[in-house]
Amino acid sequence: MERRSFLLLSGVLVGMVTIPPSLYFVSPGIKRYAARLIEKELSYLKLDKAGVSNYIKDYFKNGSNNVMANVKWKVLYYSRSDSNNSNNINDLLRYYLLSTDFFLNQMDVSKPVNYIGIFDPYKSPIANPYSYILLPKIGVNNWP
Amino acid sequence: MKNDKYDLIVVGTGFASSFFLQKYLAKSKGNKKILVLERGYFYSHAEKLKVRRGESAPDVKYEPKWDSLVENFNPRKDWHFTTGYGGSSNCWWGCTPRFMPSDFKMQSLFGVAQDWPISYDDIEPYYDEAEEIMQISGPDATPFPKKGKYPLPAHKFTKVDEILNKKYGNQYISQPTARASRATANRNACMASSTCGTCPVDAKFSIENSGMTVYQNPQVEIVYGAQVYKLETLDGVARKVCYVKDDKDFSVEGDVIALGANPFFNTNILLNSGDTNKFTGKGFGEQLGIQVLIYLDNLSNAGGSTWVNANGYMLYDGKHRKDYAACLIEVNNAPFIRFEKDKWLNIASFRLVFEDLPEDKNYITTSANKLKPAVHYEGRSDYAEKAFANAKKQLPEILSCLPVERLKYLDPFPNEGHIIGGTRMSANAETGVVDKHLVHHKYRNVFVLGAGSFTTYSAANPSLTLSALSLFAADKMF
Ligand SMILES: Cc1cc2nc3c(=O)[nH]c(=O)nc-3n(C[C@H](O)[C@H](O)[C@H](O)COP(=O)(O)OP(=O)(O)OC[C@H]3O[C@@H](n4cnc5c(N)ncnc54)[C@H](O)[C@@H]3O)c2cc1C
Ligand code: SF4
Repeated sequence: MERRSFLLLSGVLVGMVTIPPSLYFVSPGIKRYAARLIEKELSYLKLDKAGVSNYIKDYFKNGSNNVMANVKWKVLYYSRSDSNNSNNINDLLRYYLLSTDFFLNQMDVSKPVNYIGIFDPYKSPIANPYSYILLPKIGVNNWP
Repeated sequence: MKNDKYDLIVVGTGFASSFFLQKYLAKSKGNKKILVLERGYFYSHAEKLKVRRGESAPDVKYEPKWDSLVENFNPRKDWHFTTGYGGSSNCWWGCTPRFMPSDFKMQSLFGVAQDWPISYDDIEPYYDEAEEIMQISGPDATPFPKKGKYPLPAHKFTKVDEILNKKYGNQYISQPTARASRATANRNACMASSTCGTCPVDAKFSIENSGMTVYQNPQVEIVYGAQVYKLETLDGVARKVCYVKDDKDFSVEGDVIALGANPFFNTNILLNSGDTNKFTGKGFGEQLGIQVLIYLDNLSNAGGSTWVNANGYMLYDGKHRKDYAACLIEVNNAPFIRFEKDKWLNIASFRLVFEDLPEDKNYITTSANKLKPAVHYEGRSDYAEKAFANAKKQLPEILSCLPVERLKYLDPFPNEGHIIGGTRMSANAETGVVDKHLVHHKYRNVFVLGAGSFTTYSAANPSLTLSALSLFAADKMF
């Protein structure tokens, strides 16, 4: 399942089967550890706590990500897994940042990071941060 | 159906069929009877968007999953395609590089597989024409010969692209693409959302938004829900097309028949018709795609204007193709993100796409169900696998002009979306299935269109080339 949701975001998977949310029960424990994983790796940002928990709720509600409820988030948390060695964590964090105003605010770490709705190009106009529309290349590069 | 007999019967409404019809209609005198048999239905882009937004849309029933339509004998291998009006132009992602001239001469240049019975020069004008119809965005300098400009300007480079383009010139270009760089008469400009399978803003070319009015032409009659499974043949001539509609069998007479179903179904139709050519169904496959993430120090990859922003040819052509495959690099703008402070967008993503060879171990046959081809795919060739091993060795040097921290290779994709081969083109019936005009070597009134006809695979995406071949075949034969 790691691979499936990963491929979904990288835009390769087609014909996804949506799993009805009611089939899955996501316990508060699972959600707590998922939130902690976000807070741990992004501790240098001013995250709005309520936003993180709303995001987690929405993330697990989303059909395809619901499967992720089966992932042992607690184990991931205590096994020191992070976005570099777990695709699940990477996806969770990636969707999170994409679903906030972080890129709209030009990655300004002094500003609080607010959740503005799950990243979904079909439902909201939040652009891909790599796009010239959001971040023109001028001003974001300092190399060489 | 209005008639018992037709001048032309076309199977399918994807790229292959639509571009063939486009040219056929342009050359006919306006008094032809043409029948189009399409297994699926019209399921509009607007309805698809509703489904993607989670709204209900009854037409979703018109999008059967690919694996319900074939018998797939390899559970580790996927073969995505969509059926219905427009075929896989609905789900494709719009990458449209041309083939390289060398792709047509694999035997004479590298001693590998076979040469095509046509050359790059033969289809060059049809590339231009297909690019005009698809309103391709692309750069002025390309690694393949190209006389005129692309219809739309190139997409914007990122800083990473600029550095690589400066170093490699026309070996690193803004990708030629059917994702519009600016609005056209029928499409909006691309916004780089990177969900091109169903584009949220309808920027990607599809048969539906193509402005090609072939299916509205009064000479053309289209029957939906018609699954073609066989041709009735007599003395090497196909007389009738047999199909199932609403669980009933039908047949209809035609002078000329053009199969544009896709390599699986074209093969199934031919084999059910008694085609005994030893290559029919053999050597199909697809390219090998592997994603590598390039972690950059101090360099953001933002600022591109579409999903695949650039194509790299640094590993494509050369003497190495005697031993291992060409590789086309697709430089991707999908939102891969880093989480270390100040490095969020310091990552580039290359998809390495390796050509493969037609090998007998991969083949398509009929199954007990006359409507369902059986797909037997054992695996890729050593030729492709070796090329991946080589790419891993060479990439650090190729990327030495960038501040690379590390590279991370992801697992190969279960599918590349490009089904190629099965009815390969050749000079004669001893070496392939169709001739250079895509006419079956035995059934001389049957065209077998699409990427099934490719003699060898190339590393480039197939749809522009197969569309150009349809234009070429219809132009030369009518
Ligand atoms: C996810 C994905 C991404 C892709 N991205 C790219 C890309 O970026 N660039 C690129 O070049 N290519 C891409 N492709 C490949 C591209 O979609 C195919 O090469 C192209 O669609 C093939 O065109 P075609 O007309 O031969 O077949 P199709 O487009 O598959 O059309 C076949 C038609 O025949 C009909 N049909 C099938 N069987 C029957 C039957 N028995 N009777 C009657 N009608 C029948 C179908 O309904 C359909 O209308 C992608 C494919 C996928 C799946
Ligand atoms: S990148 Fe986005 S806007 Fe462009 S074609 Fe793909 S989905 Fe559409």
